[in-house]
Formats: sequence, structure tokens, C-alpha cells
Amino acid sequence: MSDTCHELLLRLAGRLPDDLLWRYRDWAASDAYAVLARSLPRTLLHGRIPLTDHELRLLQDALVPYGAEPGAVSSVKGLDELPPTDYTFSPESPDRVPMGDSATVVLGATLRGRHGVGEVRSCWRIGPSGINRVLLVAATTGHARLTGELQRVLRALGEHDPCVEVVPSGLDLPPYHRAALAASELVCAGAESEEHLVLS
Amino acid sequence: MTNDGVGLPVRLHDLLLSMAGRVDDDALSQAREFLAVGELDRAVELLVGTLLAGSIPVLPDERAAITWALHEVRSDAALTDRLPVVEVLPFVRHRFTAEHDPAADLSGVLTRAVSVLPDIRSVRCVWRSSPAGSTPGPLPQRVVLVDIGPQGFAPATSYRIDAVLRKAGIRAAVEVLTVGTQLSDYHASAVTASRAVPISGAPVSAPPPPPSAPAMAHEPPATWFDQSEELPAPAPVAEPTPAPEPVEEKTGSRRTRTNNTTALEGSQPFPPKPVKRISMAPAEPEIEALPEPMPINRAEVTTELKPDELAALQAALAEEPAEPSSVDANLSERERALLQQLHEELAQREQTGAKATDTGRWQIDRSSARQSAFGTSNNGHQPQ
Repeated sequence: MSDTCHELLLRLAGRLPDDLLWRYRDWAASDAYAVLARSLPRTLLHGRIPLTDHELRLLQDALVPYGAEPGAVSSVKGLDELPPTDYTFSPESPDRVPMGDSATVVLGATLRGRHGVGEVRSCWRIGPSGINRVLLVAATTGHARLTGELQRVLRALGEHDPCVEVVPSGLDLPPYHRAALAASELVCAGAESEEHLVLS
Repeated sequence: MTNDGVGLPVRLHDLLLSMAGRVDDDALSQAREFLAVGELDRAVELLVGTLLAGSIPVLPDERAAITWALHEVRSDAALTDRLPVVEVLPFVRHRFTAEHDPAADLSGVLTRAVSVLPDIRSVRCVWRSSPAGSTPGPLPQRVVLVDIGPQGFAPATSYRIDAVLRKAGIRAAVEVLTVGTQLSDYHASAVTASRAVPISGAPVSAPPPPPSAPAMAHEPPATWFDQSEELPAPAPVAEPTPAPEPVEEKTGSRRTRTNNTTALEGSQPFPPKPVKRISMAPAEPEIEALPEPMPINRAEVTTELKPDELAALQAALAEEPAEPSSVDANLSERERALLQQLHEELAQREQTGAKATDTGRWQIDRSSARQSAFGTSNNGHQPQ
């Protein structure tokens, strides 16, 4: 269940407002599925955010058991296939002086050699909402909780709406993540050194 | 919770207000936005989700209020079943400071919004150097305190001011307080340490500006330690400035409260606000070419002021039962109200005596508004 929900929230990166997406991921990390089950469908409907068939199944499987209204879930618009992302990504922040990136240092210190974590990469996303750091992490287990933890770290370090993408092994990356990965730079590697993020 | 004629959005706003300092500022800000744009269900569900995910404890009556709210917005009232309920909230000491002038860059940004929104009495600002909620944002957190009158609309005011600040690149927790309502410990502490934001051209008797504006004025996405050393180093500050000692000694209230319970130790000393604002730092030293030491001078002025006032004050405080901490909030309110009156006296003296400058006008306006507010609230909930 947790994996299903995590995959759905992962796929919604760049499509749901950042301020809601990180919070929903925080709720998922804390097992607050009952509220998520009410809130996420409402947000999708409110923003007319469409889902692919696969994503719709994820939504049903993950949240209907926790009380999501089947009627609301069924009303979510359909999408044939995910379009290319509207964002552009860059390995360096265009608005930051090259003085070093303390957050990357902290993340490296936190995740280096950690069990269940593979490659950790970072890039910057440029879009209408501004410039945001995007953290890409390959992980073999505990994806939702790892996401929640890294979000908390980044918020404390100054990112109000952290973009943390913890990618399970073998996941076919959506266009958003592929574009982010293509522009990313290595931060560190966890204990699962063979877990790489790969463009499929 | 019953329907006593207060609109649901206002009730929900009050509910959110009571969560300040316990829930992260971004959640409150977003919930207030939902309230303002009429999405009440999303506002309540956001609050519940944040409480649940953070395992943030609530009081039994708070849970009842949230359950009621969920019911009112036709959401699932059972969502509160898993909220951790406690009889006494764990004490979290929040620290506020007005060092590194928190109001420095706000005036120009807010003037227009404040002139458009109804019945805004004053705007104040302070830094909070302690985290709030289970997923706190970076520190220090700027807190903007807006006083509105009965014609104001709290959710709209909060939302609009927050939106204006964000547009200007300033992240702040906007807390809208209605005059005449009792302040929580969190808000009382914040108000106590805050600094007025001069609006509509009226300069405020702000303490001398710090040598350099805080680098986080226009909050960059960078982390605080990415920036230069001039940043408001952590935050030893907090204590809302030394309270008016002479007054406290005479009333004995501080001593009583301190002795009462150790739990009280955490609660912020009640507002030295009046004195803090009156003691316009620039004015005092100038006049003081006198040989008298400052503290003595202050004591004299204070004593002078309240011959009969003091009698009333002591009489009121004499009733104060040496009771547990539950009474604390009321006592501090009452004391605050009385101190406010003294403050007004002082202000009036200064005004008449020393030809009040423009600087004083803003403060006096605000304090008189507050004074009346507290006056009513004082009557309203004295012994509760």
C-alpha cells in the first residue's frame, strides 16, 4: 500500500503544486492515509489534473481502502500518456553564486553509505514558480519514509517546498524525472552502490 | 461547539490561530488561504492531516472543535479519531526577538494592502527563533502580527497580507488578531517582543535600526548558513525584554506567579510591551543629562503615575487566588490590561508634556486601540 501510494505521489511531481505535493508525501511517510484519501482526490479534481490509467489504478488501490470516495476518484480526468515536462533542469542554480552548496554537503553526510540507499543526485529546476532544488535518490526500501526524512532536512535547511524524488528500483521514470536526471550531478552514494538511477 | 452567530470561516480562523506554534507555519498559511477563498473543507482537512502526520497532540476540546468543523464542512468527522489527545499540552517555549529589525523592509510592501483591507488597527513584526510543528521551516521565522477591529475579516486579511509578502519575496507567518479577544501565550509573547511596522507614512518610534538589515529579509532559497556571518546568529534572544520591574515589584504579581507553579516558568513573562514601547530608547538618553540613574528615574515616573491606579491594580491582583496554572492566562491578561492602562497614562503624559512627535502618534493610536480592546476583554472574562 505504501509503495503504491509512494509511486503515485512520485509520478505527480511537477504536476501537483509543490506546496501540496511535499505535504502529501509527508503524510504518506507518517501513515496519515485517511486524510490523504480525502485530500488528494479533491486536489486532483480541483486542479483538473489528469491521470493515466496506470496512475488511476494506483490512486484507487492506494486510497479507496482508506476512505477515498470512489465517485471522486472516478471523476479524475484521464490522460493517454504523460506529456514532456514543462520544466527545464540545470546542474547548477542560475541564481546562486558559486559559494558552495551547504545543503548538498549535509545530504551527502547524511546519506553516504546508508543502507537501502543507492545513488543520490541533485539538480535545479527552473519553472514558473521559480528555481527549486530537485533531489533524486535511488532506494531499495522505505521509500516513503526516506522521502519524509529528506524533506524535513531540506525544509530545515531553507527549502519551503522541497522536491525530493526517491525512486524505487526498476521504476520506469516519468518524463519529469528523466529530464531531471539528465541534468543532475552526483551527490553521494549509499550502501547499495549498484543502485543507479538510469535513463530508460 | 455551538453556533453562536460567528461565521464558520471566523471560527476556523480562530481554530488555526490556536494552533500557531504547534503546527508548521506553511500549513497554517495554506489553511488560511483555503479559508479565505472559501474552500473550508480543504482548510480543515489540511489541519487534520498536519496534526495526524506530525502526531501533534491536542486538547479534548480542541479535538471536539475539529470534529465539529469537519462535520460542518461535510468531511469525515472520524478523521479525528486518531488524533493524539492529551489533558495538558506539552510546553514548548517559543522565542521571539525584534533584533535585526524585522519590520525594516515591510512598510513599503504592506502599505497598499493595509490601506485596502478593512479595519486594520496595526501591524507589528517579530522574528521567531524556535521551530514550530513537526516539519518546521528554516529559522528565524518572521512573524507578522496584524490587529484588526470588528469590521475586519481575519481570514481575508491573513491571506491578502501573506500573498503580498510572498510576492515581494518575503516569507512570514501572518497572524491576524482581533482586538478584544484573549491572546494565547504564543501570541502574547510574540506581541510583547514585536516591533511596530510603520504604515501609511507614519514613522514609528522604532528602536535604532541594526547596523545591517538581516540577510534573510528577502528570503533566498539558500540555507541560512550559506549566507554571510552577519545573519542573526542563532538566537539567544527570546525573552521579551526586561519587564517593567518597578511595576511588577509593586504588584507582586510576578513573584506570585513564579511561585505558583513550575509549569508557569515556561510561559512567557507577561507583556512588558507597554514599557517597552514607551521607553522610546532614543528619547530617554537624550533627556537624561540628569545625574539620576535610569532605573531610579523609571521607578519614579512609574510610581508617580499611579497613585489611585496602583490601588486599583493591587486590589485587582489581591483577588488573585494562588491557584494552579489554569488561571494563569486570565491573570496575565488582566495584568496586561492594567499595564496597558498605565502605558496609556504614560503615553498621554509624554504627549502633553513633551509635545508628541509623529513618532509617538502611531504608538499611541495603537495602544489606545489595544487598550479599549483589553478593556472589553477584561470585563468579558475576568474570572472566566
